[in-house]
Parts: sequence; structure tokens; C-alpha cells
Amino acid sequence: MKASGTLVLALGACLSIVLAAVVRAEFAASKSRVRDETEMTLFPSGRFLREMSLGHRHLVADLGWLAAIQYYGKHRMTDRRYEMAPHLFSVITEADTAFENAYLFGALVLAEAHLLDDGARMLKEGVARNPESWFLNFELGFYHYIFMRRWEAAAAAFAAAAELPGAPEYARRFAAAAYEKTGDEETARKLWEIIATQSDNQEIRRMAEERLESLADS
Amino acid sequence: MTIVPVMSLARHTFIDALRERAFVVLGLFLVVILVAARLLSPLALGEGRRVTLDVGLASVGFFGFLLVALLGTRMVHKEIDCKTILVLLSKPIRRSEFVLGKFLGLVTVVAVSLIAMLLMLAGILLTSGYEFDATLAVAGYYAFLELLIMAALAMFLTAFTSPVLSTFFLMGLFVAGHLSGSLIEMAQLLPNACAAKMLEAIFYVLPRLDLYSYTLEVVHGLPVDGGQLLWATSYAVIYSVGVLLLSVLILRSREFS
Amino acid sequence: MRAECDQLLILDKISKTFTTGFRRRKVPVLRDVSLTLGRGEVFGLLGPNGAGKTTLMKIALGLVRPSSGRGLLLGGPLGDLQARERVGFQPEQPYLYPGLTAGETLDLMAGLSRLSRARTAARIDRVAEQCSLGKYLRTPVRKLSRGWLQRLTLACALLSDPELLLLDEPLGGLDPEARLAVKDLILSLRAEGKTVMVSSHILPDVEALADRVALLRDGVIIASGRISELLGSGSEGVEVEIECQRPIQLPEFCTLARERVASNRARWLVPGDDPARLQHVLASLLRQGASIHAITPQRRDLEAFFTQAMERARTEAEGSAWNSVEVAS
Repeated sequence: MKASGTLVLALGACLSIVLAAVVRAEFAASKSRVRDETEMTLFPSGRFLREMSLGHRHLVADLGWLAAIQYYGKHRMTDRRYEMAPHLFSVITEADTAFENAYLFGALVLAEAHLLDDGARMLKEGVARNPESWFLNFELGFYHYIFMRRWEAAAAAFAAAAELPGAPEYARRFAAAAYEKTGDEETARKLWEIIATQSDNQEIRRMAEERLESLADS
Repeated sequence: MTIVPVMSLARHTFIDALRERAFVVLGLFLVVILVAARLLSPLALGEGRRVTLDVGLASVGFFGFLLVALLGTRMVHKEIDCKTILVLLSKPIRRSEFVLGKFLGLVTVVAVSLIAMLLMLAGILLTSGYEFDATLAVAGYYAFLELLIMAALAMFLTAFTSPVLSTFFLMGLFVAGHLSGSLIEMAQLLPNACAAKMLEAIFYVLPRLDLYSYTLEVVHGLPVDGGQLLWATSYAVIYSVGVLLLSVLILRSREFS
Repeated sequence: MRAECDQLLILDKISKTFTTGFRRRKVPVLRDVSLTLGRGEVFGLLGPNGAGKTTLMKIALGLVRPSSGRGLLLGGPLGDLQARERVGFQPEQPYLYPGLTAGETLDLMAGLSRLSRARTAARIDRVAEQCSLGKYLRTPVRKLSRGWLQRLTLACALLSDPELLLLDEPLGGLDPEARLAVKDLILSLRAEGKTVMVSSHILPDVEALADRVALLRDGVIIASGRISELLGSGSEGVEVEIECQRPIQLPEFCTLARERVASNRARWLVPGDDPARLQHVLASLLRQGASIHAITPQRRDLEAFFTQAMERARTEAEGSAWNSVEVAS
């Protein structure tokens, strides 16, 4: 009787441990669904981090950037849901307000998650914090043009980018094309004229002239 | 298994612990969270709520563990050492009933302490003007489940080692339990297949206490996942049952001379 | 082995060897111990400390497993759960929870004994009365003196109204008044038809209580049986107290008591109960000019028997043989 009791106990113990391992897998899975999302929220606010970094704010932003890339990669391969992205990227850009790629990458990730307004807001925030950056202005325009199909906003952003120091020539072209889309042919014509006269590239000058001709026809 | 002797033993274990001033630990807890709320929070640059919650919940877990380590590891051994077990086991009580009774007594002490600690924490959050919601109660429940596992492990260890060794082992298990999530990743990195297999086996046997951390969810006020609650409960209960069965197995083979 | 309802405890050739320490040293505690406990008797288990009395009780309760041998407790295997419901055990040391009051301790023991709530209250009242614990029920165990703790453990043993009581040194640590009370209690339990096994190394106590005794030395029963049979019917001899002014000569069988009463007074023991022999000694004394002050017949008591039996066992042990002196019971 004693021996059989011992056997039952031993079997029961083994069974429990095995069953526990199975249940644990489910628990861990449900936990990691929450945790993956929230792990990013574990990031304290960027402002807090910036102060706590004792001057090494770029390092903090870089660490955040690495985490963000991993987060994106993981979800890109799986569910393509990026709910924590706004928080994560805002943490990075708050830690380092001039981190241009972080604004852009964040906006693109958000666009992929169909969070178009959040993406636009992120880029606008970048522009507000870095008004001298032709890059951020241009990307804001691009974002409005490609993802949101808001021609006016896109045209204004492209135009603003084109006026900033260091802006490439194509910024003006994008602005012109965008104005054409809005139906503001007057502004479009002015922009194409500048391109047709000032571009170093002969092919581009030819393209601009073609656009001017077609605007004149219509 | 009969309920009367089990409940009687549990009730009186609880009363004995109460009178033996087991709850002094709670006073320490209050001091720690008061320090966190009043001294650290102003330094946290607007993250006072978060710091108070983080330190508070970590302290709930730690002081709960301290209680289990202090009471649990001495519980059975004290019986053997002070020979109260002779009186108990001469009564018509099975070893399994003895283990379950002592375990439930210990768990009651833990549960009451947790409730007290959570109320203190809630009080401090309220008086500090920090908001919190029902997830705090869930965090308390998760801490309880974690301590349930620790209490079962304490019963197991104390059935065959001295209190000092049990406390030592229990601390090891507490730390290992919190790191066990990374153990499987470590196993995958090991070049030696045999060592990796061993590590993997340890991973499956060790409790995964890291899963019972609920600070994230509380700090961000995330919605409570009912399914997860069920898995968390099932895991703690099944694991504890397994460990308690092992304790009974050991205690049955023991003589009390 | 068949359960016999008149024999509450049967131990058959029980041996126990403990292994201790890192080197797994084997320490024999009991060797081939056989005894039976009949219903309604008080059985005294005698022996010096470390003789194995407590281990024997623990084996009966299943707290310790015998290395060899078999036994029955109330018709079931040793330590059987159902059997333990009908057994009360009082350990030698009062091992209880210091944080509980005496009343709570009894309540706990009632729970462990599976008593119903209603029965618990009645039984606690009863044992508190039996052990005069009434006024201490609300006192924490840690504040009770040794004597009261002893009574509390006895009350715990009595709680389930058991048929068989195993009392390990129940009179140890008690003041004379309390000893008397406990002895009365044991006798009243016998009168109620309970069976009691009492272990002790205080022999006069057991002599007054027990119907039968077993003498345990180094784990071996060296003598067992009814006290009257062990001690024999007759007297040990006659003690003669004399006063004389000069040395006297007496036959060899007479022994001089170790302690002298005074410088010119001594006590001589004339062994046996042969009147002719006594007359011969008295005549010899008178002849030598001694004056006789007192003639007291000496009854052999358990203590004397115990000392002799232990002495005999020791000499036999030195001759390497372990023999049991069995007196028919």
C-alpha cells in the first residue's frame, strides 16, 4: 500500500511538472504578446532619458534607435502591427531632436501600420524642431504626396524644402509636379521655368520645357 | 485527504505566525515605499508615479519573498527540530495533509501580507496624487501566484534540508526563476549539445517567475488579459501541486526520531 | 499475524538501527523487542535514558519504521491511520506551538483528530477538567510552566478519548502534587477501561501504576512480566539494627548495610524468609553482647529488582551474550 502510494505520488509529481511546462508555454506566449508591446513603453519618456543620460543624450537616442529597428524587424516578419512605434520613435526624437532619420523612419513605419496621421505628425514635429532641414521638409512633402495624396500640403512642403540651403534641385521639380496636381498651374509654371533655366542637367531642362509646353496647351 | 485536519492545521499555522510577529516585514515595506514616494519621486523628473509604482511593486514582490523565505523555510524544519511534528503526526493525519495544511497556512500569511502591502501602496499613490487602476490588484494577484510557487518550493526544500540551506537554495531558485526566461536563449548559444540539452531541461523544471512581473501593465494601465490570467493561475497551481507532491514524497520517507 | 481484539499493541521481534552522521555509522537502538499490551492494563516501560523506550513508542505510531520485525496497532499495521484515531500519544518533551494558547492548541489537536465541532467543545471541556487546565486555556503556550505544558500535552493525548494511551515519561518535570494528580488520572483511565503504556525511569511511580512492566536496557528487554511475579511473593529478608561496643562476627550470608546509623550502631540484612536462619543470627548476636534495636522485614521493590536486573544484564553483556530474563506473565 505504501509502495503504491509512493508510485502514485511520484507519477503525480512528474505529471504536474510536465503539465506545468505545457501551461507555462501558453502563459509565456500570452505574456510576450503584451510584453513585446509594452517592453517599448518601458522606455521612459525621452525627456526623462535626456536628463538622466547626463549629457550622453545621443547615446540614449542611439540605443532607442537600435531597439526601434529590432522592434520593426520583429513585427515586419510577423504580424506587421506596430502599435508601440509612435511611443518608441517619440522617445528617440525627444532624446535627440535632430535625429532626422528617426523622424522619417518612424513616419514610414507608421504609414505601413496605416497610422498615416501619426506619421505626418511625426514629420511635422521634426520640421518644427528643425526648420532649417530641407530633408525633413522634403520628406514631409513626399509623405503627403505618396501616402496621403494631399497635393497642396505636399507642394507647400516641397517648395519650402527647395528654398532651404543644401536642398537638391529635384525638390523644386517635386514641388512643381505637386502644384500641377492641385490645379495651381500658375505656381507650377513658375517652378518649371526655374528648373528649365537653372538646371545643370540637360535632360531635366528638356523635361521641364516639355511640362511647360503641356501646361500652355491645357 | 480530509479537509478538517488540513484546515485546522492551516488556521493554527496562520495564528502562530501572526503571534510570532511575522508581519514585522510589512513595517519595512512601508518604510521603503514611503522613501520611494517621498524622496525618490521628486528626483524622477515628472516620472514620480512610475518610480513609486516600480519601487512599490518590486518591494511587494521582494518583501513577500522575504516572508516566504523566513517563514516557509523554517516552517517544517521547526516542526521537526522542535518536535511538534511528533505530536502532529501521532494524530490521525496523513503526511500529505500535514504538508497541505502547513502550505495553506503559509499561503494565507502571504495573501494577507500582500493585501496589506497593496493597500499601503494604494494609500501612498492616492496621497501623492498619482493615479492607478484595477491593474494594481492584478499585479498583486500575480505577485501572489509567484509567491505560491515560492511557498511550495520552500515546503519542498525544508522537507529535507536545514533552514539555512533551504533559505539559501530558495534565494537561488528565486533568482534563477527570474532569469529562467533567458536560459533557453543561453542554451541555444551553447556549442556543446549535451550542455545545451541539460540547460534546456533545467529551463523546463525551473519556475518561470519572470512571467509574473506585472509592473509594465500597471505603469501603462494596459487592459487585463483574461486568458493570460487563467494561464498564469493554472501554471502557478499546477507547478505548486507538483512541488508539494514531491515534498509529501520526501516527508513520507522520513523518520522522526 | 491476526488482529486480536484483546491485544491493542503487539510487537514481534522489533529491531531498529539508526544510521547517523556522514560516515553512516550504524547505531542499534532496539533488538528483537517483543511485547503485547492487553486491553485495560497499565503497562510500564522501564529503562534508563537511551534504552529505546521512546523509539519503541514511535515505532508503534509509525513515526519511526522498524528495521526488522512486525507489529499490530489496534489490529492494523503499526502507525495505521485508522488505528491512530484511537491512540493518544504524549511525547516526553512538551513540543507545542508557542504562539498558540492552550485552548487553541487543544482546538488544533481536535481538528487533527478529526473531531466534529460539537464534539470538540465537549472534549476540550472534559480534558481541561481532567488535567485541571481550565484556568489556563487562554494562556499562550510560551507562558506556561513545564508542569502545565506537561499537563497540556497529556490533555492533547486524551482529546480524542483514545482506547490506547502511549505516555512517554508523563511524570517527568512535575512537582509532587502534579505527579499525584497525573497518577490518579492514569488510574482513573484504567478504571474506565483504557489501556495505558507509561514509560519512565522513575521506578516508584511506575510501581504504583503499572500492572505489568518491561525492563529495557540498550534496546533489549531484559525482564518483563507482572510486578508481583518479578518481585516474587516473599520478602527480601529481614533487617536487624543492632548496637554493640566491639566488633562482631556473623554468618557469611548476612550483609552489612553500607551506611552506618551511628558509630556503634549498624544494620544487617538477613536474606531469605527462613525463620530458623533468623533465629540463628539473633542468637549469635545476643551471644556476642549486641543489643537489638529493631527487626524490620524487607520487601523487595522494583528499584532493587531493576538494579539487580541491570547489573545482571551488564555482567552477561560483558560475557558477550544478550539474554532476556523472561518471567512468565
